[in-house]
Amino acid sequence: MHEQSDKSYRELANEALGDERLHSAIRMIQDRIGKGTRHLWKTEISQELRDKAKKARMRTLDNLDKVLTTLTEKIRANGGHVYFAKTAEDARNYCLKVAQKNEVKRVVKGKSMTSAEIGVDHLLEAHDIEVVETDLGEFIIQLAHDAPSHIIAPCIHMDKQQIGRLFEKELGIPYSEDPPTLTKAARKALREKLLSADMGISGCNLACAETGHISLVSNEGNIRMSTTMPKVHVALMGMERVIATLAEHDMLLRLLTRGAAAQKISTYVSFLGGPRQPGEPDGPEEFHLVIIDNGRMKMLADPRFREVLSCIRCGSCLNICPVYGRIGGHAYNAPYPGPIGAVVMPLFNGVNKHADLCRGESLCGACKDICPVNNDLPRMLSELRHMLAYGDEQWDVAPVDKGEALAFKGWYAAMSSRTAYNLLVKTGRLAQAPFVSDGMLKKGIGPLGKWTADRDFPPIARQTFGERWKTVHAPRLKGDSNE
Amino acid sequence: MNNAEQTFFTRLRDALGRNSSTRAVREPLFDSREPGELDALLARTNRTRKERLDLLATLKEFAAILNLRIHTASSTDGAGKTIAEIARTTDTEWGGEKRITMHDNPLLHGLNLEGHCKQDGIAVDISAIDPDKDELTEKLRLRHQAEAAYMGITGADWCAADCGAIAVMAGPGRGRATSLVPSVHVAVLTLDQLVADLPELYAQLENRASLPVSFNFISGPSKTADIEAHMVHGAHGPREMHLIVITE
Ligand code: SF4
Repeated sequence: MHEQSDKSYRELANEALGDERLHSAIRMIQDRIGKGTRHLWKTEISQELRDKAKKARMRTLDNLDKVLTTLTEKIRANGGHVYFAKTAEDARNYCLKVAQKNEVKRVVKGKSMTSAEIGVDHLLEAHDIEVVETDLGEFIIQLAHDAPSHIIAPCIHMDKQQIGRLFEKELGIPYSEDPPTLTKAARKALREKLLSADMGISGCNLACAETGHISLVSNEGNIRMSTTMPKVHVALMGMERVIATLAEHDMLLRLLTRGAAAQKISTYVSFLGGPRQPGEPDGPEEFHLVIIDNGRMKMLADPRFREVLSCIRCGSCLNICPVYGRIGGHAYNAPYPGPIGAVVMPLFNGVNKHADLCRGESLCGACKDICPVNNDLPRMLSELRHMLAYGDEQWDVAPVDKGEALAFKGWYAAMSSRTAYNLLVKTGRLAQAPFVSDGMLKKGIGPLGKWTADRDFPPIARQTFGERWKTVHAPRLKGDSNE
Repeated sequence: MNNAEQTFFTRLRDALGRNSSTRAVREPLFDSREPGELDALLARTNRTRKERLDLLATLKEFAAILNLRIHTASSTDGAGKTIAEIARTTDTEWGGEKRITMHDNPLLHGLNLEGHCKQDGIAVDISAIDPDKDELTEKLRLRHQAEAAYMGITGADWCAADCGAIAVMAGPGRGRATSLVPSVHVAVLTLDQLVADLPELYAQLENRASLPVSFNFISGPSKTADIEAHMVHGAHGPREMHLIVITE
C-alpha cells in the first residue's frame, strides 16, 4: 500500500487539474473544515494562545534532549521499551524484530503517517505478516491498492460508488452506495481483524514528557482497538512529537482537534505510557515506543528549518491551500502532501529530488495564517527555492538551472539601465510578432514555452506606458497648462 | 543506554549546539503554568449546586451535536433503572444473549443493575481479575466477557461540559475494553464530577498524585466521515453512548 507513482509532479498535477470529482471532494473539505478552522481561530481561540503554543513547541525543541530523556525514563519505569531509530530502516527493522520475537501473524494499524514515512508495511508483509489498516479511509485505500491523498481524510478522492464496487468485490457484500451500510460492512470485517491481531502499530500525536505518556486522537476508535486488544503495541513517533507538560498538552490538543477537523475534541484521546499494569484486566503485555530521527536531526540543527518541527500534523494547511485544492494529494506523490509536505519532503528526501514540490506552492500565505502553531511555511519554501537557485552545501543541493540564474542576472542588468531596457522592449516587440494571436502570446519559445504550455502570456504592448506618456499624455498636459 | 541510543543523544546535543561532552542535565522540566494558574483553575471548580446544574445544561446542549445521549437521575438507584431501560430496549449487534460488562467501581455497585435487569434476563458481569487466579488466564476470560457484551458500563472521573468529554482512568477493575468493545457504552457520573472545560479537566489531572499508565477522554459514540464526508456513528468503537448524571 501507499503505492507511490512513477509519474512526475507535472503529469500528476495535470491529471488532477482535469478531475472534476476530485475538485468537488476537496472543495467540500476545504469549505467545511478549512473555513471552519479559520472561523474558530477568529472566535474561540485567540492569537495569543497560538503564539503561546508556538513558544512552547520551540522551547521543547530547543531542549529536546532533556524532554526526550524524561519521557524515556518515565516510560521505562512503567515497563515500556523505548528504542531510538536513526533511519527509517532502523525503525522498520525494529518493528520486524518485535513482531518476530512475539511470533506475530497479524498486525493492525491505526492511521500513522510516520509508518508510511518509514515504510514498515512492505517489510512486515515480506516476512509473511499480514498488515491491516484499520482507519476506515486507510482500509479503503489498502483494499484499492491506492495511496492516501489527505492527512485526515485519506480516501477523499474516491466517491461512494467506487467504494461500493470495491466492497462488493473485496468484502463480498451486495453493492451499496449508502455510507452507513458501507461503514457497517467495514466495521464487521475490521472487528474480526482487530480482535484477532497479535500486534498493533500506531503513530503518536503528542507525547507528554512530564507524565510519560504518548497520546493518540481518533474518532473511529480503531486506534484504541489497535493499542488495547493485541498483546503487543508498537508506537512510532517522530522525535519532535513530544511536549513538555500536561498544561502544554491541554493547549496543543485543543489546537490539534480544531485544526484537523474543526472539532472541539476528537471522540477519543488516549494516553498510553506502558504495558498493562498488574491487576489490570486488559491492555498490551508489551509496549514499545520507537523514537525516529530519519533526517529530523538535520532540520533541528538548521535555524532555517527548526521551526518546521513544531508542526503538529493537524493538516489544516491542506484544508486551506489553493494549490492542494486544485491538484489534490496524489500529485505530491509523498507520505506528507500539501504545504507541510512541500517543506518536509525535500528536507527528508533531498531538495533536488523534490524540487517540484518546493516550486509548486503559490506562496500566498494561507497556510501560515491557518497553522495553529504559526509555522511560516512560505518562508521555508522560499529558503528551499533559494537553495535550488544557488545551491546549498549543508543540504547537498545543486543549483537547478545555471542558465536560468544567468538569465535573471542579465534581466537584472537590463532592468537597471534605461537604455538597455528600451532596447529590450523594442527588439522584443519585433521578435514576438509571429507568436501573438488574439492579443496573447500563446506559444512561447525557449523557457517561455513552459509557461505558455499552461497559460497565456501577455505580449509586450504596442506602446508601453512610457511611450504613451510621451506621445499622448505629456502633450495633453502641456495643452492643459496652456489654457 | 545502548550504543545506538548514546549516539542518538550525542547527535541530538550536537544539533542543539550543546557541548557534546556534557551529559544531558537532569533539571526539573519547565513549568509551563503562570504562577497561581493551576490554583486558580482548581478554585474555579468549587461550584454551587446551581452552577453545576448550569454546566449540565451546557453539556446537554453540546452533547446533541456529538450524538451523545445525556440522562439525569435523581438517585443512584434511579440511574440503575434508567440503564436497565436502555438495556431492555437495545438490541444486540452481533447476536447472542444480552450481557452487560461493568467496571468494578463503588458508584456502579450502587446502581443495583443486576436487580433491575433480572426480570429481562440480562446478565451483568464485573470486569475485574480474581486475585486468587492466574492473571493471564483471567485476562483472557475478561476479554471474552468484553467481546460477548453488548453493553459496557463505566464510571467517569470527570466530564468537561463544554465539549462532552469524560476522562476515564484505567486500572484494576477498570478495563479499557469496557468502553470500547461492546456496541453501547454507558458512563455514569455524579454532578460534582462535572467541570466546565478541558483546561479545568487538565487541572484535575495535574492535581492528582499520580496518573495511571493508561487513560482516555471519550466524547460520544465512535464515528467516521471517511466516505464522502458523510457522518456515520459506529465505526469501530461503540455505536451508541449514554451518559447518566446523578444529581442527588
Ligand atoms: S504546518 Fe501547521 S497547519 Fe500544516 S499540518 Fe503542521 S501544524 Fe498543521
